[in-house]
Amino acid sequence: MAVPEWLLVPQEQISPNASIKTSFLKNRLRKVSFIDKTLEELTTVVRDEIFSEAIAGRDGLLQKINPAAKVVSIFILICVACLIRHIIPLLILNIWLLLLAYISSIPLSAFIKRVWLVVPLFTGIIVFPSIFNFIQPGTPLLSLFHFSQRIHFGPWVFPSVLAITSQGVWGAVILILRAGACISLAALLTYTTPWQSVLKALQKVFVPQIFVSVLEMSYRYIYLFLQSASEIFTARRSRSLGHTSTKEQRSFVSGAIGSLWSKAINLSKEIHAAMISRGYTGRPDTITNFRIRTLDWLWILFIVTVSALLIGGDRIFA
Amino acid sequence: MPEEAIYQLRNITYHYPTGEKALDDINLTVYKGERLVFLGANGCGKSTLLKLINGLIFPQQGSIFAFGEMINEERLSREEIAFAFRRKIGFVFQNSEAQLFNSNVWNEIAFGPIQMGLGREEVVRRVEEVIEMLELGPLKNRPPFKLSGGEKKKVALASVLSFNPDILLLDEPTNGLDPRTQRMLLNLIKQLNKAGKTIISATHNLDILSELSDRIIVFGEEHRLVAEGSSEEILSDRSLLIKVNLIDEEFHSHTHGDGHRHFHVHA
Repeated sequence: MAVPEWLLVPQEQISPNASIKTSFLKNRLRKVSFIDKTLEELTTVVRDEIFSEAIAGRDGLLQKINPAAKVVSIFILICVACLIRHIIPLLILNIWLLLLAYISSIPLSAFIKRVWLVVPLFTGIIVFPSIFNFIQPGTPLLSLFHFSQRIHFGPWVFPSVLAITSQGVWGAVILILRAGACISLAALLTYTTPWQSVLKALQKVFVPQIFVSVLEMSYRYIYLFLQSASEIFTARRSRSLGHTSTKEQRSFVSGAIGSLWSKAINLSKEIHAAMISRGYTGRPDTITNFRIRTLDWLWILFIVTVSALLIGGDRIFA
Repeated sequence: MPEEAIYQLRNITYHYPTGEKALDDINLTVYKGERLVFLGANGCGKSTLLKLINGLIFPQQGSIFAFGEMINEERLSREEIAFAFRRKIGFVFQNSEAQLFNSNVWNEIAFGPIQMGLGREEVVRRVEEVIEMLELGPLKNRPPFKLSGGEKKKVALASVLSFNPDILLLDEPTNGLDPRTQRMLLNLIKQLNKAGKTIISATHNLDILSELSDRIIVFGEEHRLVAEGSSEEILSDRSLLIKVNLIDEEFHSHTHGDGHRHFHVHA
């Protein structure tokens, strides 16, 4: 093997008379690209949120409950949250869920951030238009704008006053609280249960095995692909200097997507072969090792009682 | 060497879907209880041949007989034939990442026995015993991405051993293993072979040949079989090893007192 001569000479020092041009280097901080950052964040989030399972290992109330019992109870409570039609019982439910998070050793700040930053934002956007009388007629709570006459817009006729209605606001608050309760419940389950147990519990309860298997494999490989993707970016960063144009970056990103895609296809073929080789015939089967104990029955009983109280309370408010 | 033929490959030719040739006119017999090694440089078709033997892909030309019966796509698509065939053969893939598709080590090792229809108690017993044998205890609840390369290989091996196949197919078995784990693996293979299992491995690692093989089949870069013999015969044929691109002129070999021959280069 003939090694080219330049490879055997130490790198040239950078000086004004050097043959290497450095004018493409601008004296500024290299900005980490948006995709770089997103990928890094994504990997961190996936690692910390889905894979760390640190909270699931803590000693708390919900950690002691059998995952299958937990899935059933959370399903019941989600139904309850959807059936309640008044603000006070919904508020009580939400506060009680916060309390549950607290006694299950979930850091409250993280829990609140996860639930109450997301819900008002997304649900809020959805329900926002419905608080105005233009969308949903009702008793005006706050008049915003007076028009001289009713507005005709194609087949639609709008009232002459744009106002926020009390029905709209209450409806929106109820929907947000309801969504908050449901998300809190899901968060409680995933915080206090290792992901694998969640999947096994799903299978134990009512979800078809094939669906659980697909989820399980996605869980298994999602991290591998995030890792491969972030390795591609790290490898590139270690070789690139100075500023790259947006066009170059675009072509790099599309190339990376393509190479990941073909990697994924090849890997999926290999995995399928490995499964077939070990006797897979399209009927996945696993051994679950869940024992329902007295505590779990007590827990379910407790949840049923709480549900009855909440729904009963809701009727009283009516 | 025991003379009962368990595999017969006749005039096998295999092309990749892209049209590229991977195997050309392969004729081969595998005997029960032997340690057979496919030796060749990267990309010569060894892994493809292992997949053909495991009935994971099928040749465009030629025929494969396993245990006296023809193996082809049509027959293996019948469940009872596939079931009888698969439980006899365990394949340890070169890429452990593909082999470990379960969410943790315990489930991985249990997958084979469960698919093979063993009862619950038997599955649990086997998994626990394989875990103990390969010292995987501390890892049993870990997801695959928290394992090192060597650990992944060990788990991949465990996942195949747990359903007790008669034939083990090992694709580059010692790749990425540290010396101690490599030693352990070679000893285990020897022990399994003594118990009557047939071991077919594919490798380009000359250092493990004498331990891994009774018989070696050498692949050329034109995807054909070019030689067959014992490790001593193959390793002493320097011009053959150069011809198939496994070594170059700088390598030379010594035979040690115990008959072990190895190739190396002096810096």
